[in-house]
Amino acid sequence: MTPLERRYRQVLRLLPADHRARWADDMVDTFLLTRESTAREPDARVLDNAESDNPQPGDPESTNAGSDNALSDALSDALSDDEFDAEYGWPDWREVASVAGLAVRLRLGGAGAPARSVARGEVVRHVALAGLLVHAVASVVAVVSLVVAQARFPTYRVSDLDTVEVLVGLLWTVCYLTLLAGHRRAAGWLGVAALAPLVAMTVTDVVAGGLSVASAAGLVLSAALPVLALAAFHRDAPPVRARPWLVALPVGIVLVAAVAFATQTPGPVPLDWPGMLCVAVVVAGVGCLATGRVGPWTGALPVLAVAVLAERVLTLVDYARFTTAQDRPALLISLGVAQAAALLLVTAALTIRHRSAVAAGGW
Amino acid sequence: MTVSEQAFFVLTALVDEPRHGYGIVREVTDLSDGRVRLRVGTLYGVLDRLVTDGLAEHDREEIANGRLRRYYRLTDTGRQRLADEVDRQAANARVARDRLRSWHRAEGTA
Repeated sequence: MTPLERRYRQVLRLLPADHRARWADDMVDTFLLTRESTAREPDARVLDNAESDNPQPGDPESTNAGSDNALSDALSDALSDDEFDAEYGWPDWREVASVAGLAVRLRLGGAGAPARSVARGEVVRHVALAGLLVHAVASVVAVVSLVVAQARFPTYRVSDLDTVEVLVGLLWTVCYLTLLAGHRRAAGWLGVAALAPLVAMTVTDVVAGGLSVASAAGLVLSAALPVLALAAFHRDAPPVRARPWLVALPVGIVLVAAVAFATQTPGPVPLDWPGMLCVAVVVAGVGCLATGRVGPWTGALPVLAVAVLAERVLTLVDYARFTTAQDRPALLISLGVAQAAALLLVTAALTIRHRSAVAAGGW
Repeated sequence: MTVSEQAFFVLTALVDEPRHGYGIVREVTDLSDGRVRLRVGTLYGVLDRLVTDGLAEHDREEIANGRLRRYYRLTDTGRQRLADEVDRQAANARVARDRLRSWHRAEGTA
């Protein structure tokens, strides 16, 4: 086995074991043959150039002699190129991407895939949809808050940077609606476009000293989670049932705006954004546990809970680090600890329920 | 259910004779005038689905350069499925062509 073959077989480890057992040898043979043929293609071009580089009009013999030499050089180069490639070559990124794409389609299955793979795919697709819904709701509420603030306090000037940040956030809403409309590839690009400024601004905050590296990493990872999960919307994935998700958007906007208005300081109970997310996941989790049914939500909620928990814990740490003893929002921190504990409990219960159902083959 | 473009070309590549993986890649490139270049991961995703659905099947094995080489052939179901797909695409193309002709005629007389 050449080093190139060994490297390609390592790439094939991305595939599920049963698929690998059936197809790996075939794939290796096809890969190596394709590789050998493409390795010779540039030499064909060299040969063409060698024939045309120094034409000798009226001297056919010298032309033939030149091309004969070029032919033998190119052939010997081709042989040594094959050996060199087998020793030092790596599978190119397009081949790796095609294997990675196949691995995603097989592991997060769609129509016609094994039941367990379809179930796993449904969980990840729910993570993507729910995560994008949260981003979409937050971005619309941010715009509404900005407009309301300007209307109520006309003398208050929002900086241009903040305005741009809020408006760019609407890309999440566009991404969400694009996915519901069935344009999966476009939704993927929009997700990346929405994530990029968030990453840039978070890094800027870290550099300016307004955010710890751990908090920044937590925020970026939780924002990136639904974008990564969009990979489950491959060409074999079933179409999204758009109606309930479309209804969820205005409902979520009204709920979040109402809760934000009711709980803003100096209101009775302070509830920050991670706190709202904790409450939402806990309520949804308790609802799932109460119905006793196991499905995509019992798998998706624990995944979402991990991202929310990271955001909750990291913001609590920042509250403790970046405030003085007098300014420290003691009630907010106490409530935050309680939210994290409740989230952990519900997540543990959901995970146990989901895993036991999957192990028993019930879902 | 429609057939993806890659599956369509893989089925077409297997019409005349059984082929191994690389043979299919090369044939599909030729059939599509270089427009469709199957990567190995893509090919074996398609081939796995075609074999599972009974549209293609294992034909024979050969040893070449010390490596196992498997050939695949089209089944009767696969041949029928391809014929149905060709009819469907031809009907679609006919409708679109008629529409375009009507439009050109209308533009010409306007």
